[in-house]
Amino acid sequence: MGAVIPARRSEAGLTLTEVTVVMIIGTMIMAGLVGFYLASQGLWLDASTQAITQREASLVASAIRDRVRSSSYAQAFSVPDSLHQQLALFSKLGDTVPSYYFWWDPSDSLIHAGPTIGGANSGPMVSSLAERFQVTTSNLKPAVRVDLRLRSATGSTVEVGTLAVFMN
Amino acid sequence: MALNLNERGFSLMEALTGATISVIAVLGLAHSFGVGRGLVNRYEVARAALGEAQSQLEALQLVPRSDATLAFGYNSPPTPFRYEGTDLGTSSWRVLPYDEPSLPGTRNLKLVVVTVRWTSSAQSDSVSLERLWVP
Repeated sequence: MGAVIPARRSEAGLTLTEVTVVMIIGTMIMAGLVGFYLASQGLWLDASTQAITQREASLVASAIRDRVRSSSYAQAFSVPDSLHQQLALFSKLGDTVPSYYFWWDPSDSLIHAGPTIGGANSGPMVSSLAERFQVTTSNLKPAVRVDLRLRSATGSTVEVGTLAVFMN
Repeated sequence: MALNLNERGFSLMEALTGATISVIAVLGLAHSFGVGRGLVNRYEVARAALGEAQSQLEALQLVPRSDATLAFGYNSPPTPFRYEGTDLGTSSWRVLPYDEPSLPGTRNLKLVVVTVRWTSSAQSDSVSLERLWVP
């Protein structure tokens, strides 16, 4: 029968207390990391969607400005309410049929554009919902003022206003 | 039997050091997201300011070219620049002479410069748009 050899310290493994302490510390660190990750992801998502909405607002303003410049006059109608209007642009003075429209569609809350309302080659300009699409025309000034407020996917709002002069 | 050194695993100090480095790295990452968010907010106002400058230049198209507000050397008084119902800064324009070499004379064009200045989150910023006009 061989002699019993006492276990060396390095072979003794971990005590329950040591394992518990390590697990608690590990859990706290992991919880912190996951919390930071989720918060950062939310921040990034919010910033990203707002940046997209900002670009879309600029795109809408730029498109309207270009169309107004190539027009001679315009008419604005409140459809369906005073916060959302329809802009009808006419290529030449004396034209009775608009050559282009910008309007807010209540069925999808998006800003649409096209040569006819709801016809071919007409559709939403951007994917951000529009809370406000107001158009101001004046008989005294050959210009159109457009103010719009878009809402991003995470709920942030972006406002943009533009004024464009008829040059056709 | 002697244990090989690489079978001993990590000591508590090594694990804590690694965790500290990981936490610092994650904090840096989180900070970069925060900075990115701040830049998005900053450029939101910058885009609005650009729109204001474009609208101001467009509105000046309606002013007769002989008007005093479009004379060489004119500096307009500042007007408020508002965004989302808040006064953030001012907008103004100035008219400078511009020499186009291919045209006769030395003050043959007007350089109209619209500048929008604003302060947001204790940071001053500005955007300028220029357009050349025939006098």
